[in-house]
Amino acid sequence: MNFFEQQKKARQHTFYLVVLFVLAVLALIAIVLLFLMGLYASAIHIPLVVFFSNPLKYMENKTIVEIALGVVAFVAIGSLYKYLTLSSGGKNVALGLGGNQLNYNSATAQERVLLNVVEEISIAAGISVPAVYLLDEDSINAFAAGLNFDDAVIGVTRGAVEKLDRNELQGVIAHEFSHIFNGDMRLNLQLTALLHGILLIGLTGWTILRSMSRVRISSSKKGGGGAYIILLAVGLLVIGYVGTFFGSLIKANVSRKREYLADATAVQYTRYPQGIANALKKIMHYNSKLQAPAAATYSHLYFAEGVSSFFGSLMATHPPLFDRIKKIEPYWDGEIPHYPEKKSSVQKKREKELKKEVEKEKKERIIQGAMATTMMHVGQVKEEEVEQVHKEIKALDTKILDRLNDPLGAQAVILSLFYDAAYKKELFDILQKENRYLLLEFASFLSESHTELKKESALVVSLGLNALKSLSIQQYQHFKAIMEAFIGIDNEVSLFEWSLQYIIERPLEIHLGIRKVSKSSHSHLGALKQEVEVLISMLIQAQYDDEKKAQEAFAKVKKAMYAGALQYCPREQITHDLFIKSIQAIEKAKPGVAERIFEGVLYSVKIDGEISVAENTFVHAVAQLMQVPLPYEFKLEKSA
Amino acid sequence: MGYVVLGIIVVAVLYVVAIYNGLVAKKNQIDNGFAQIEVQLKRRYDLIPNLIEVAKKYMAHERETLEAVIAARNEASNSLAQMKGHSDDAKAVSEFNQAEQGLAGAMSKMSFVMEAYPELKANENMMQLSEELSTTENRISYARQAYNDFVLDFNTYRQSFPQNLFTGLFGFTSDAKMLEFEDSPAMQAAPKVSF
Repeated sequence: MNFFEQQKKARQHTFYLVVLFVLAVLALIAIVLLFLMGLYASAIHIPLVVFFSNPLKYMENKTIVEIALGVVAFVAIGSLYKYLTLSSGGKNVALGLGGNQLNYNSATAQERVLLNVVEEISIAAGISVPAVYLLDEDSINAFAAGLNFDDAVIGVTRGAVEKLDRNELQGVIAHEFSHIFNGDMRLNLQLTALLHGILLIGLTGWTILRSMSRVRISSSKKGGGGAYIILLAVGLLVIGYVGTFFGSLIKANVSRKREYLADATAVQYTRYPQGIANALKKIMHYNSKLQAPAAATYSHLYFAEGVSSFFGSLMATHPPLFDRIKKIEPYWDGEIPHYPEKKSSVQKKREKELKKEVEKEKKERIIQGAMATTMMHVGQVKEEEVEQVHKEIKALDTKILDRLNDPLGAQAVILSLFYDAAYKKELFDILQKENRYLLLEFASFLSESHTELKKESALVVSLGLNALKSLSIQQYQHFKAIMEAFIGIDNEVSLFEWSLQYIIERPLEIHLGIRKVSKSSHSHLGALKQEVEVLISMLIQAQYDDEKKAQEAFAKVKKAMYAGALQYCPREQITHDLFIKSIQAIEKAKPGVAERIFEGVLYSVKIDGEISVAENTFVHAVAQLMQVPLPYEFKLEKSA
Repeated sequence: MGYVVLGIIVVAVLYVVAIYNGLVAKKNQIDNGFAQIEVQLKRRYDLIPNLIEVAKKYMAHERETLEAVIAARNEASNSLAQMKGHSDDAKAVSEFNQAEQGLAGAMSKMSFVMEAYPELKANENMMQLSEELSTTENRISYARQAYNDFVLDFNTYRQSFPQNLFTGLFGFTSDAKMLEFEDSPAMQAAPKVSF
C-alpha cells in the first residue's frame, strides 16, 4: 500500500465531508429561519406565496436578522454546552471505561511488552509518550483519548495484550497514535457538539409538545393560538431530528474516513502492513465488543467497532473490517488464519472470583478490625528525630530499599513481615494462585536471607506505603486479600499481625478514597469504660502469663490513668470479636479522651520493663487510630 | 483603497513569517530526531553488559563469544562518542558505521550460540533482557525512520512553492540529508549459506 497517497486521499475526503457538514448546519439554520417566518406569515393570515415573494414588506429587515442571530445563538449554546461537558481529559475517558493505568515497575511481562511498544511508536510518531491504561476486557480493542498531545492517553484491552503478537500490537498502537497525531478526537468532539446544537432544536419542539399536551387537558379548546404553538413545536421537532439524523450520517462518514487515515498512518509508523492487517484479521476471528457500561459514549475512539450501531453500516463509526484489511493488503484472498483457542485470563479470573466469594465471608471478620479512620501523619517532627530516621533508613539493606520503592517489591517485603516459615507450602500456593509475579518477587526476596525485618516493621511499612499508593483500587484489594490469607493461615490473628495490618491498610484506603474518616463522638472516658478495660487487660495479659500478676499490673495502670472505676477483664472473656469491637468504639474518642487512653496504652505496654515488637507496632496502630502523636521513643525505632 | 493595500501587505508579511517559522520548526525537528537516535543507541550499549552478565552464568564455555560482544560494544560506544558533534565528518561516520556492524555481527553470533542453552533462554532475567533488547532495536530503527520522515517533510516543504522563493533569504539553502547505510550493497546481496 502506498500509505502517503492513502493518507492524502483520506485527508481530502474528510475535508470535503467537514465542509459538507458545516454547509448542512448552515442550511438547517436557514430552514429554521424560513419556517419561523412562514409561521409568522400564517399567524397574520397572509398566504405563504404572497409573503415569501416579498417578505421585507411584512417584516422589518432588522427583525429577520435578529431571528437568524437568535437561531444561531441557540445552536451555538447547545454546541458549547456539549463541547464543555465532553471535553474532559483523556484520563477521565480511560477511567470511565474502567481502565487501570499501567506502571512499568509493577507490570507483568506481557504488560511490559505493551509499554515498550507504546514507547517505540511514540518515537516513530515523534509524539511524547502517553499514559497507558489497561481495560479488563476479553475482546481485542484499543482507544486513544484526549484533546491534545499532552493530555492524550492510550487504552488497550487485556484481550489485545494477550492475543496479539508484538507486530500486531505495534499496528494497533500505531493506529491509535495516528488518531492522536491527526487530532481526530478534537474533530469528532467538534462535530458531536455541533450536532447537539441541532438536536437542541428538536428537543425544544419536543418539550413544547409535551407541556402542551398537559395544558390542553385543563383548557380544552381555546382559540387558534394553541394550534400555532403545536405547529411550531412539531416543525422544530421534525427539523431538529431530521437534521440530527443527516448530520450523524455525515459524522459517521467522517469517522470512517479517519479510520482509513489512521490505518494508513499506522503503516507509515511501523512500515509493516502485515502487523495491523493481522490484528484486524484476529479481530474478525475473535471480536472487538466492549462490555463496559460507558462503552457506547466513546464508540468513535476505538480501534475497531466497540458497540454495534442502530442503522448498521450507515451509522457505523468504523468501516467494515474486511474493507480495512483489503485497503492495507490489496491482494488478500479473504481467508482468516486459524487461531488456537485459549482460555483468557479474564475468564479465568471470573471463575476464580466466584470461588473467592465464599472464602471472603470468612475473612470479613478480620477486615472489620481495620474499619477505623482518620489521617495518617501524627505528631510533630523534631530535627533530631529526622536525623534518627535517616540513620535507620541508611541501616536498612539497599536491596530492601530498592524493593520498597517499587509497588511489586514493596508488596513482597511487606508480605514477608507476615511470613511464617512453618506454613511455607500453603503460603507459596496462595501466591502461585493469586499472583505469580508477586510469588517470584517474594521468593527471591526470601532467598536473599535478610536479617530479621520484623523488628523494623514500622519503618518498613512507612517506606513501602509510598510505592503501594500507586496501586489501583483493584490491585490494592487483591493485595489485601493475599495479606489476609497470610495473616489467617494459622487461624489466629496475633496482636502484631493486627497492628501491622492496620497501619498498612488505613493510610492506603484513605489514599484510595475507599475509607471514610468517622466522626469522633465520645467525649468522656465513662462512655468507653468497657472497651478500655478490654484493651488494657489484653495488653497486660500478653506480658504476664500469671493471672495474679496481671491483676496487679492492671491496678497500677488504673492508678496511672486516674481511672479508678476500671475493672480487670479476665483472660477467658476476651475474644477477637470483642477486641475488634472495642477498637472500633475507641476510635471514636474525642481528642482529650483519646490522649488519656493512649497514655494508658503506653503505660501498660511498658509495664514489664520492655517493649516487644508486637507492642511497638501496636502503639503505632493505636496512635494512628486515635490520631495522637507518637512519643519519641516509639518513632520508627528498633525495639529491643 | 489604501486600507485594502495595507491589509494585503500585512497578510503577506504574516505569511512570510509563517514560512520562516515553519522552516525553523521543521529543521529543529530533524535535529531532535537525530538526538533521539543517539539516545536509543546509548540505551542499547547500556543494556548489553547486563545481558552478558546473565548469560555468563550459563555460558561459561562461550567466554570468547561473550568477550567479543563486549569488545564490539565498547568500540561502538566509543565511536559514537567521537562522532558526537561531528556528524558531518565523513570519517567519523564511517568508523561508527563499521563499529555498529561489528557489534551487530557479534550479537547475532551470540544469539546463535544461545540457542544451545535452553535454560538460559528460559531464564526470567534473560527473557526480560531480550525483550528490552528487541524493544531497543525497534526504537533505534523507528528513530532512524522518524528522522528520515522529518527530513522528507522538511525537504518537501523547502522545495515547494512559495517557500522556495524565501529559502535563500532565510539561509535554508540546502536539503537535509537522509540517513543511509554504508553497507547498502551488502544488505542487498543474498545471504551466504554454507554447511
